[in-house]
Amino acid sequence: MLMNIALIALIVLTVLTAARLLNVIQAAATLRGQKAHEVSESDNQLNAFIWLLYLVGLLGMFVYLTVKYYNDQFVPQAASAHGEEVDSLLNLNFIVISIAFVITQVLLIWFSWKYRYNKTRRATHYAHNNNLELIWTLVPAVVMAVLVLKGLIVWSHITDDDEGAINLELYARQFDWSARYSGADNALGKANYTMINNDNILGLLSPESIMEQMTLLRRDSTVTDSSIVNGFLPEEKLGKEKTRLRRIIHQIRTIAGFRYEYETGAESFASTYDDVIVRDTIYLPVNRPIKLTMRSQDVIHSAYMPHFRVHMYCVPGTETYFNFTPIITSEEMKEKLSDPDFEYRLYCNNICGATHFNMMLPIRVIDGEAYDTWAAGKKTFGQETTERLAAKGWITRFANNN
Amino acid sequence: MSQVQSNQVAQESIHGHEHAHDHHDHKETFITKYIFSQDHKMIAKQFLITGMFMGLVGMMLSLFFRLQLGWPGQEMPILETFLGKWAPDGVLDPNFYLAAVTIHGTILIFMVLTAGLSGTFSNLLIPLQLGARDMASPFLNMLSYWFFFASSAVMMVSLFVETGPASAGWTVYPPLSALPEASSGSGLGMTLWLVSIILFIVSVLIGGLNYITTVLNLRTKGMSMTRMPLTIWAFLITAILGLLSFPVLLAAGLLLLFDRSMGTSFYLSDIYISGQAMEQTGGSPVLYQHLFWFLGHPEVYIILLPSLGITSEVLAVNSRKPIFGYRAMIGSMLGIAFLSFIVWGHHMFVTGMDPLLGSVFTFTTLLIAIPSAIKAFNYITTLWKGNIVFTPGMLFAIGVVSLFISGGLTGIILADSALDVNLHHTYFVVAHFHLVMGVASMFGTFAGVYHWFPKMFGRMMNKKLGYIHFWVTIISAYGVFFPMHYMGLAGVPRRYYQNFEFFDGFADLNVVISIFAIIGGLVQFLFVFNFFYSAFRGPKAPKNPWKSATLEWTTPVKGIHGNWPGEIPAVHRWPYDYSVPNGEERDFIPQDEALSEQEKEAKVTH
Repeated sequence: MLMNIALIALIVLTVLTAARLLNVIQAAATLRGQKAHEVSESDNQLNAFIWLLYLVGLLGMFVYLTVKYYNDQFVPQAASAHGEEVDSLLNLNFIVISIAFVITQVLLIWFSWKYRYNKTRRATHYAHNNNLELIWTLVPAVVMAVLVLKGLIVWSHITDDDEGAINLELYARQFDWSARYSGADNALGKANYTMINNDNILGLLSPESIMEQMTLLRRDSTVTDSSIVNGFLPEEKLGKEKTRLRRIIHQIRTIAGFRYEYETGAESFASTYDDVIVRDTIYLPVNRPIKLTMRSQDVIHSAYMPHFRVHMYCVPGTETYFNFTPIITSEEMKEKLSDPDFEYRLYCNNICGATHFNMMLPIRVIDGEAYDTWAAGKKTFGQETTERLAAKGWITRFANNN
Repeated sequence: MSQVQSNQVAQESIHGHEHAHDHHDHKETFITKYIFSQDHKMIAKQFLITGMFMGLVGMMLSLFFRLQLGWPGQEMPILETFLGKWAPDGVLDPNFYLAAVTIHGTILIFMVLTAGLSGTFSNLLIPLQLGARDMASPFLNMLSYWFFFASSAVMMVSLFVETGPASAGWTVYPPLSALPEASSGSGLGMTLWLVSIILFIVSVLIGGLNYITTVLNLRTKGMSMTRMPLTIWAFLITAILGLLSFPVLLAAGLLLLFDRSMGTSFYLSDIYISGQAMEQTGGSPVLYQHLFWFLGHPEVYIILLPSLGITSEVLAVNSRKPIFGYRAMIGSMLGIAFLSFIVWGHHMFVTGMDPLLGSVFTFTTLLIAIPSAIKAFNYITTLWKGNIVFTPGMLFAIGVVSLFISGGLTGIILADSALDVNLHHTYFVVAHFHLVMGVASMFGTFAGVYHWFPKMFGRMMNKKLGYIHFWVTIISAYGVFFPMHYMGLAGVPRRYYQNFEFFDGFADLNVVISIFAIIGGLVQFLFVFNFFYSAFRGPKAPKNPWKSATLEWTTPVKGIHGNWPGEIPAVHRWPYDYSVPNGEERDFIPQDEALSEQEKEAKVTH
């Protein structure tokens, strides 16, 4: 406390002293006949000179930073098929804007220095020149046209669908990632957010998971309902419990719809059986096109994989897509960078809450055979559900639950 | 012509009224003069000083998170002194880190660079440079300020609520901003944020209507649209942009408010949070982004254009030359303004938008490069063969051009959807928009303050302190933002509480950036000191300190209600008659000076 008062006193004293000092300086300047609104010869010279230093500093910093940081050591090496194309487009753009940057800054600062005030000179009254203006309308227009065209070509390559791509889902929630492989049928089975529980984070729909969720929700609704009916809850808590009950009822209704579809045979919900969910490390086969489907459980996240030049929001309530083909395996990359700890990574790159910065998953790119072996060894969603229900001792046949 | 005459009649009637005013009640109380003032000059000062205060708050917040980014996890007792529970043991809380980022952006973009810049200089200069007694509606003008004040006050209050201020980024994308369960800042703090912004929009709309009406109706005799200084053109176009885009933000904000409190599902769909599946389905979070950026992109130009307008004026005056390509400057501003409404999608290339739309937005966005290039080259040519006087205002104006080029060029990369994929939400974006929109506009504001300070307070600011302020600020600005481009190219995401677990190559660069930020931040106090000291104790200003041709310098040094003691001067020429080769020693001809015989013969008709 004492410290704070001393600090405030110090600041006040400094300001007062500075004001006093400035007062004296200004009075002295007035005595010398200087006018506050006129810039003296020496001030003009000095500022013009600093402008020159500024130009040297600016261009020097640009060159230094570009040499030091715009290289393979810092810029993630492109490891996807479209990545190299993107990089050469980026380099082209970089060169174009560097040229424009140097020319304009040099002209701007050089003129500022060269035409600094001189009592004996008079400025040239030069108000416009249509030819000049036409030149600097047309030149940027032509350059832009080239850049736009090149950009759109690359864009169309990025957004094209790849034939026979492996379907893979990235699923985001606060604050972790899951990946879902589509399994033997290469089709991602259906999912719905009302199906989410601790054992079914992605809310996948299968006959068994529908039955399990229905049972859990019925139990929940009874517990919640009785806590409301008993009437011992404080006002605030009561409101929350009522909301909870309303939400559970909404869930049950939605899921009843799925059950109806299943019972009438309109939908088998069998496509999820062979899906595989991975939550620690994503494995990808090299040189096989991947079609990413992205979903989110709660808020907007964003799947960002800098090495693959892949970036797409994960938006709750809808699916988003991105196609790419990894072309360098993790091992090859380790060798290339001579970094034995190298990992490709999936980051979240859309602000999603307190520990947003920590939402990351390693990715390993392996060759096709190793990938097939790895995939064959994973437990499918169908197996996991059956095992869990068996362990709980719940009836595993959907129809018997009615 | 008859239009001009009828304007003159309107002006005279206001004038007449002012005379009556003088006779009857001359006594202005403290409250009517300084608080609920309806005088545009006082309102301009109110906007400026409120904006300066908010600017300091926003800057302090940025220093807090720069400390964390430069020295992540290090205990810094000063943080606990300022922030208390938000920095336990002197380490910034991750929630407050996000809140600081959010409120820094909100305050700087809306309170400082929209209200503080446009509010100040539109109010000060529109009547003075056009030859009007005051704004078309002084009362609405006062309301505009007080809505802004209320908005700022609510934003400040939100900093002190228990659950913390809004922390979903300045764009407050739902569902994060809609769900208190998702983030503690999305509770009361977010409600206050929305209330503050709604008040702010009211202020902008009232102010904008007033600016437009004044420019269109209250120009003095002879002041045709093409004789207006470029500052006024910039303010006019800015006001139109605001009028067309802010209502969309209002709609977006209201719908968000409904989603938060009334159970609607405009932006919410299929959300499972805190162990519960919400009932809302069918909404679209991306809808919010479309609405937000429909404002958000014009907003960039709402911030930038006034700064460019001020730059045009200050550059011309201090180069002792007419602005080069007056009509092209107007044309390019109109072009930028029009284009700014059809480019919002470039903020959304990776939201899952149809790739075809992405192509369209890439095309329209890159078109903006053309009018921007025209402006840059015209500025440079204005300096060519000038006779440049380095007033502090002039230094800042040249700084604007330098920053506008540096920051603008990287926009060419970001506008390209194929390249944006990998740079979206990285430090490259942070570097780009801070240079071209943030610092450039801030410099425009500084140029304006140094240039028109004599008009505001009748005194001169200290030049030497101005020089120090300029050079330290521009070096710090480049020191902070230039290196960020390279972090972005390396894929370092923005809004990360700490970056270095995976991007450890940039640890030392981050320290350098933070040091520049601290230096650049501290030197702003020099400006504040210079400002307030000079307002009270600075040397008295002459009537026309910069030998400028525009009308505001024909008013008495000590500003009076109604601006001109006698009749409003009529205008006979354009505002940029500098260094006309007419054999005179004087190198400027004021706008209100009648054409000489020689000029009449030459039929100079600007």
